[in-house]
Amino acid sequence: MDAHLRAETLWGILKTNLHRQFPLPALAAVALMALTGLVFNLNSLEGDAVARPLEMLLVWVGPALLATVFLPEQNPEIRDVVRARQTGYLWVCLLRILYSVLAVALLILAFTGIMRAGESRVLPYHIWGCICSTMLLGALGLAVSGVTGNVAGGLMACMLYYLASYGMGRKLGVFSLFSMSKGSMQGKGWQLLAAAVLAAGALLVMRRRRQI
Amino acid sequence: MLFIKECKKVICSMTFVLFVVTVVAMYTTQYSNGLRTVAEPKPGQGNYGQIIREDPQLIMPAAVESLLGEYLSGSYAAYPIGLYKNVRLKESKRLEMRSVLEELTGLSGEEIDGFNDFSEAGFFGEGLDEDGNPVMFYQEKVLPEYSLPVSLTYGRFCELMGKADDLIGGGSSYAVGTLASYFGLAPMTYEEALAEYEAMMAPGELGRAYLRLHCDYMGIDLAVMPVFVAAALWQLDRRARMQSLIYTRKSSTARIVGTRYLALVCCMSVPVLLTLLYTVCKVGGMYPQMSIDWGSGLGMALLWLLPDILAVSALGILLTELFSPLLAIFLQCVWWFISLNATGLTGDVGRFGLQIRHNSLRYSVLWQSQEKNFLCNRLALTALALLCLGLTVWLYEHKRKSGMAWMNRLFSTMKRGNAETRKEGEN
Repeated sequence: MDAHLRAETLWGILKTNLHRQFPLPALAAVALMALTGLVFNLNSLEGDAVARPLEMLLVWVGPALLATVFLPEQNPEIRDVVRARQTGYLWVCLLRILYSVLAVALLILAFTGIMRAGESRVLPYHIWGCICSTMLLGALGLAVSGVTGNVAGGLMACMLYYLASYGMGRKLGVFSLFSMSKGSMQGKGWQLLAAAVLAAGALLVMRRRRQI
Repeated sequence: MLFIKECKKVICSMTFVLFVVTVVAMYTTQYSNGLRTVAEPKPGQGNYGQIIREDPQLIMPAAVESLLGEYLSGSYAAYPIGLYKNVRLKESKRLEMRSVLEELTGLSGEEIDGFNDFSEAGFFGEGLDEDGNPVMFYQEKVLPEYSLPVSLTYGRFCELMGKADDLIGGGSSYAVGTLASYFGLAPMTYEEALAEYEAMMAPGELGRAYLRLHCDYMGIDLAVMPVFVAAALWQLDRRARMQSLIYTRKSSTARIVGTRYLALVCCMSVPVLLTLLYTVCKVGGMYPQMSIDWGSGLGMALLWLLPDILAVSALGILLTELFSPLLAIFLQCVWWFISLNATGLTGDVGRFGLQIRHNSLRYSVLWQSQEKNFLCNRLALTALALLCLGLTVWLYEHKRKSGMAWMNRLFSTMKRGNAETRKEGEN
């Protein structure tokens, strides 16, 4: 297949997935964003208070968008059919991951924009930290749901990690989801790195087990 | 036979394994590692903790000072659903709040608004010392001079505080029901601390205190985790496309649904019961000289934790049957998050609601005053579980008879959508 044909095929797959796979996770992510706005005060916040809505609730847009990447092919038979096609299932998954990551970043930027409009002092590190934590939680969901073929299990792993961060506080070190709320403004980059390793590792394992 | 099969299915599922991991992790990291014996207070110890007193002489000055400070700063702290909200009043409401303060302080509106020296309490820097270290000093809150009117009764004071809370939008520290807990805190005397210690050491009370704390932590876990296990298990038929096969079985719907639900609840109860037994052994070992009466404490613990598993699982299977497992998980997580943040840490027992908290070995008297609410709350949750189970049976029965035309249409539309996705993905 030449490059032009391949790009055209990928574009077709992207359009179809945006139309069919993306809407429900995106709706869930937007609902979470709205819920964060309803539950937390977003106006005139400073310091640690800025990080609270971002780290306590908004991070769940990650699992909403990333843990559901393999949802349409949860049935192994359907997955086998998709795997047998000319365009590899891996490409479809990578495409989904790519637009989901973009959606996570856009939603966080939009949300922090709303906070800034409400005169909250959102620093660039808050945005960066929130994106890193959201990616880590999302990548954990993606990895577990992908390897086990069980989206509910992926979301459960996210909840387990969230509860561990909630209960263990600083014992998780740089991997604590709530570090900014507790006054630490460093180390979030490690979470992004962990997210990348988790996602890549999961895809590798799935490839070796012929799941993708 | 069917029950054993279903139990095997639950136990072998990944979500159940994760459930057990969560229960054990929550138990060890939050509860069992921090268990200590309760020490008898000694005279002259200095600090015996704090106690809430319903004393108008204590509450009135503190509440008025706080309200005046918030009025002058222009923002009010509120916790409408347990999470902090910074409320700023519109001009009309600000004027109403000012009239409330006029009555509480005896100052005129002009005197209040004309005060420009307001300052919050806090530590402030005062230059550097010889070694270059910052010199800090503590400054009290700076407010206009006022005194509470002699004619102000506690009843009228409560009315005005209620009005202030309404103007803020509810959930503030001025709500009449919570005035004492915010402004009535006072240091405990030795006699009070000793009385509380003796009440805790009364037969049956020590075991209850430790089990209450156990349930407080485990309740956080059990108010959300069962939904993952229930939703994942309930969608297995759909994933394996076994619905038609099961729908045509001779077994009654009530038997199929009831057995599955019972298997779910029984399997999830086992790790919870084991942690309870471990607590009994561990606390028993901490007080070797005492024979602790565990009967009423264990009854309370079961009444606290089992309705959580029952209700969360039943709601999970109903929503999975009705919509999808992901929606069930999403809605339960939202309910859990809001409940957890809306519930106070100690002695917060609402008549209805998912979460109950009492994060302390102490305050037995406070807990005893809430026992009716506790019973009502747990019975309501059990009733919700039975209602959801009944609805699931009804729904399942209608699906078996293909009587849910609207549901079938909905699913067939979704299936068509998925088929198109796959078809285009084949390109």
